[in-house]
Amino acid sequence: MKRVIGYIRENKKQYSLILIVLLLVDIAQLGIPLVVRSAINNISQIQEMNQLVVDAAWLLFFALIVVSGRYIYGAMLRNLALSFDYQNQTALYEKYLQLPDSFFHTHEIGDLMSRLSHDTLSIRRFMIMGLISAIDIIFMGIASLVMMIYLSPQLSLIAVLPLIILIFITRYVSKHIFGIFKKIQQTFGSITSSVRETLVGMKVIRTFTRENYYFQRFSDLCSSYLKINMNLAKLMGVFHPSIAMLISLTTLIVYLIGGKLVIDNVITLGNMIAFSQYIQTLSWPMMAFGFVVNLYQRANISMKRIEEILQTPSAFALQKIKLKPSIEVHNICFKNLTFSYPETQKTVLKNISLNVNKNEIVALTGLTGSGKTTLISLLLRFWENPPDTIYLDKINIETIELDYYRKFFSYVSQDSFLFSTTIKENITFGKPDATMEEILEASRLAELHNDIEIFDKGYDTLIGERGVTLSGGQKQRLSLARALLVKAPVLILDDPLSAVDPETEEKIVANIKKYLKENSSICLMISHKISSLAWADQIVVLANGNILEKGNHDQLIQQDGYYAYLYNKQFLDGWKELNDDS
Amino acid sequence: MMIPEINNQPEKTQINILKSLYPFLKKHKRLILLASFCLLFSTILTSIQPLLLRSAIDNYIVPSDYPGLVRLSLIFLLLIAGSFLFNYAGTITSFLLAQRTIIDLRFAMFKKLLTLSVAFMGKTPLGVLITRTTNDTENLNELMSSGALQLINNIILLISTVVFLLFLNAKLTVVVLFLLPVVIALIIYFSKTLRQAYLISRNNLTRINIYMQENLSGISLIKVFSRKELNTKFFKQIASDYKQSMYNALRKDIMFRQLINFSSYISQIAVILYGGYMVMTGETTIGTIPAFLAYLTHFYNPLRDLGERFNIIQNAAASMTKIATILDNDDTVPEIDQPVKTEIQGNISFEKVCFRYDTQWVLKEVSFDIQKGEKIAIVGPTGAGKSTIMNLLLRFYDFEKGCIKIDGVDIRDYELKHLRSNMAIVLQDVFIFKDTIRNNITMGNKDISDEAIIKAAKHLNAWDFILNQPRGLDSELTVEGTNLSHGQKQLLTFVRTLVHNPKILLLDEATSSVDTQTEKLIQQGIEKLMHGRTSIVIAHRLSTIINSDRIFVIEKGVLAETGSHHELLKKRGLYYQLYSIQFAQKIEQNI
Ligand SMILES: Nc1ncnc2c1ncn2[C@@H]1O[C@H](COP(=O)(O)OP(=O)(O)OP(=O)(O)O)[C@@H](O)[C@H]1O
Ligand SMILES: Nc1ncnc2c1ncn2[C@@H]1O[C@H](COP(=O)(O)OP(=O)(O)OP(=O)(O)O)[C@@H](O)[C@H]1O
Ligand SMILES: [Mg+2]
Ligand SMILES: [Mg+2]
Repeated sequence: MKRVIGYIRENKKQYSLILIVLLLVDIAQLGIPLVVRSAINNISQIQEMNQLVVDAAWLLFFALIVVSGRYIYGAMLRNLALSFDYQNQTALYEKYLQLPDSFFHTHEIGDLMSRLSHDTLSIRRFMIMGLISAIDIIFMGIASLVMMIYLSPQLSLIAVLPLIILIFITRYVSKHIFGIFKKIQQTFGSITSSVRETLVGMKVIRTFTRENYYFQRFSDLCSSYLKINMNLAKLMGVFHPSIAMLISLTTLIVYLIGGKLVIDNVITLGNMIAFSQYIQTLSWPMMAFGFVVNLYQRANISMKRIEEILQTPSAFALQKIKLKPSIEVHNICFKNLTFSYPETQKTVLKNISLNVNKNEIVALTGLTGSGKTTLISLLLRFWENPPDTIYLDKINIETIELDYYRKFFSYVSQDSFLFSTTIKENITFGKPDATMEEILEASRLAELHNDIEIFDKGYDTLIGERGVTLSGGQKQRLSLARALLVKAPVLILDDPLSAVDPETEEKIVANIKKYLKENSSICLMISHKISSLAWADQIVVLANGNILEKGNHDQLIQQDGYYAYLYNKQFLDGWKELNDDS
Repeated sequence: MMIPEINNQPEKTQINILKSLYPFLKKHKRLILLASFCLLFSTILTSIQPLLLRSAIDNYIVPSDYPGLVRLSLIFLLLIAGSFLFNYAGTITSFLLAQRTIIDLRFAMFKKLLTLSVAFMGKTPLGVLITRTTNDTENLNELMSSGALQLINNIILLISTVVFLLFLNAKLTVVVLFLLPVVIALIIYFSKTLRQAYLISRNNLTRINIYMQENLSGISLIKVFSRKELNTKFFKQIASDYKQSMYNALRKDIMFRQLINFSSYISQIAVILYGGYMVMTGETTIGTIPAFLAYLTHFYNPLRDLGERFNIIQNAAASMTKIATILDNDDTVPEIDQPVKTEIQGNISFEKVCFRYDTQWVLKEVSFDIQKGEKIAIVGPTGAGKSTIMNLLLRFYDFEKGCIKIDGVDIRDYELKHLRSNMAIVLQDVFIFKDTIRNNITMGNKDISDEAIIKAAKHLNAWDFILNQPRGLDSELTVEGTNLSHGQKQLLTFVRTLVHNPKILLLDEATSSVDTQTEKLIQQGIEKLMHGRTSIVIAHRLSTIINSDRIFVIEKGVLAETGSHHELLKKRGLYYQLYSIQFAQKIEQNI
């Protein structure tokens, strides 16, 4: 709850104002019974209408204070609480953008969403209702207690007894409720995740007609959510009624003991009645007490869930030097790079050394799972690379400020993720103010333009969630166009043409060649297809995390290794057959 | 990426929250009765307590009858215990009622999502559907557990108070109630504006969820394309819209409550002035006034409480409206009344099939016949309509003209589940669940043995990498399989497809991310596993389809050529062109 306290401190002035208005309202409220009493006296004794009108005017005055005061502090409180919400939400969002990739592999998006949209809710509730009730409790509680002691110290002593029981009950409840709330919020997060995963994987689930299984998974989560909520109900079901019971019990004791005192003429009947009225006044703060405990614990848990994220170290949090050196991008160099993913045993890259110069095209190939994507993820700094292993222009990349560094790169990911907006917005993702010419150029380079022209709305076509309304090849080419538009000095392509037919592929390869020449870029491209590999300046074959072969097409053909095998399988066999047949 | 927008117009069909909830509530009639009964009794028992206290003073304390006081105390104690029990039981039952109802509602939502058409799901942002199933149902939960039932209690209290008031002094009651029309008008007015205000803030919350969902899914792109600042700006805009709209709703809400409060004070003033006048003119006794004032609190307290619940009710009503639009959506795959469930052999025929997603025809009079056991390949330029053929076969979409038959039966006549469970597809987009490798392969089907998995995995050359994972088949995969390489994911979905032992195997670019060596091995594996069954394979790498029985060349939605590899080469048509591009020209370039 540190953030809450910090926030209240930050807005000291407003909260003090609220406090003042609140006290004013409370005082006015205490004044109302006095006015009513005086009015009744007037009616019964003085019987003067004018006096009565004066009383009525006072009552109206107090009522106006109460009503407008409540509106004022209520609105202020809500505004403050919502601003706090906003602060938390934006803080979370900005944090999410800074967290390392590994974080998103272990945290489910649904859960992360629920922290932002669901947990903030319980905090807000506490900020609106909890704070006020807490102040009310203290104020009203103390006022009534003082009056009670003033009326009859002996009776007060006895009447306070049940209050002590209340403290014990509250202790017990808050101890247990904490764990319950934690589970509730967690489970809600899991439900959100489960719904999201099912929706994203819906097509798979349907083709295998496994709807029941995924429904079962969801319903198990919901059932455990129900169970935890029922645990809460059992606790709260005892808590609230027992507070009511304690209040009644106190009244009973006051009547029983106080009655005896009255009979014995120790105190007057009037005092006893007044005393019991104050117990009634005390009952509201006592009731509210349970309510506040509830609100507080809930907010506490939610705040912890949010703080947990905010306190997770950002990517490259340990990076001390953050320079923005001038970079021309004439060289990228991997030096003895050995890497395993955090918390795994397997070494994915072993002692990789590779030097890439300006205007060079490097093609990476190799068996599935040999570490190609890993290599470029390290270059893009999705993961922290081991010290002194990667250099850009001979500058150790660990010393370069992350956001600055990434500006030099453009990237086509292997899964060609698209956003559910228009084609145009997707192409201009890296450069939102791009002109139509730039868009068309990128789209033509990716051989996408002809496809888009056919669509009714052209570049303004909405492509649905993750681009579902596009064909596989269209998606891939769109993500290629997106990467080509930014014209970054380093172009990284992770298997960018796997879903494209040979004819289109050939055209795109030619376009990319031209593009690279014009923009004098470094290009790293991963592919399994010889047709995309052969023209590279350097072809690197990875196997099991090692560089198996390195060289240009001719050199590698001569080595007669994996590359030559690929070449034979993909080309020569087909070529021979073509000649045989014709 | 744009800021998501949602139409804030109120839904045309105003949804009656009770009517929408009724199907979920009616199962729990007994629980409702029990809960209301308990709550009512606890209220009654509590409200008797003041009567006893008065009698304690008048009958025992004043006449100094201490033993009598003790006797009365015992009765009082019983009363306390009774009201505690009823209160407890009432709370628990109403909570249980709420939870049961909401869980049913969630189930219904989830089941609906599982049946809604692929077209609908594609058009609706994920964030919307997620919000409906989680946040929106949770709102209803709050309505139900924080006392939809207390509401009924309040109304009973309200009515009985009016009766008491009338009984005490009819004239004064009329004076007190002259504000009632104003109060009712207030309630009606605010009910409307508040509902709209809450609807807008709900929509803004949904926008937050949509935006978050997408941003988190594509987070690495945001990093590489330096979109941090811009996206943060957008997010702040949405969050501040949410804040504004929520503030608007909450402010109106508190205004409403204070207005009710104010009318309660006005009534008090009226009682004092008019009541005082009546006392002075001797029309009534002084005792009436305190009694009236006391009952006034009984009258306005439930009204105020109504205001409290109002917030929750309006919020819930806004949510229910949103939920109902999904529950009432009947955009599902239609099934006929008595669907066919005969065993499927695997003969497929397309008869002049035409299909379009929007206005453009994607398939134009496509006709072909596939015999049981045939190995068919589909090739063609990207965007030609190849995946669409698979979409139609699996009934993700229904064709518009022509007919698709399997074993001579229109596929629309089959039971959907039966139809789909006889086919299996490796989709062009791989999807991996955050689960163990085993569950990802079996999709939770307990009938699939480990032997079957191992056999398929070995044939598909996937067993090695599975063994290499820390705990073999029991290894946990991360969100969407991010701890596997792309090719490995594809292999896994391949294994998944084959262990389901389909009559018809559909492969849509199933090996596009796999290296050539592995691909060759996979091909041999499929041969063995799928021997004698129908298979349809879409591939761009022509080397993988040379051995097919027949090859269909699709171009711009038309079946351009069919024939075996050699036949098609001889034809020197489109296939020949594709083939020679892939092989011949480059050879010339590079040699
Ligand atoms: N986040 C991760 N955590 C743990 N292991 C991982 C992670 N990502 C990949 N791996 C493992 O690292 C190895 C290399 O993966 P990588 O994605 O680099 O392969 P690749 O060469 O790109 O393969 P493909 O051609 O299939 O895309 C694989 O064995 C994979 O299982
Ligand atoms: N859900 C959809 N809604 C609207 N249009 C779609 C949808 N799916 C595909 N299309 C359009 O239909 C056409 C054919 O798409 P399809 O996916 O069948 O192509 P494909 O032959 O599989 O291409 P690829 O080889 O690139 O995967 C494309 O122009 C595509 O944009
Ligand atoms: Mg890869
Ligand atoms: Mg396709």
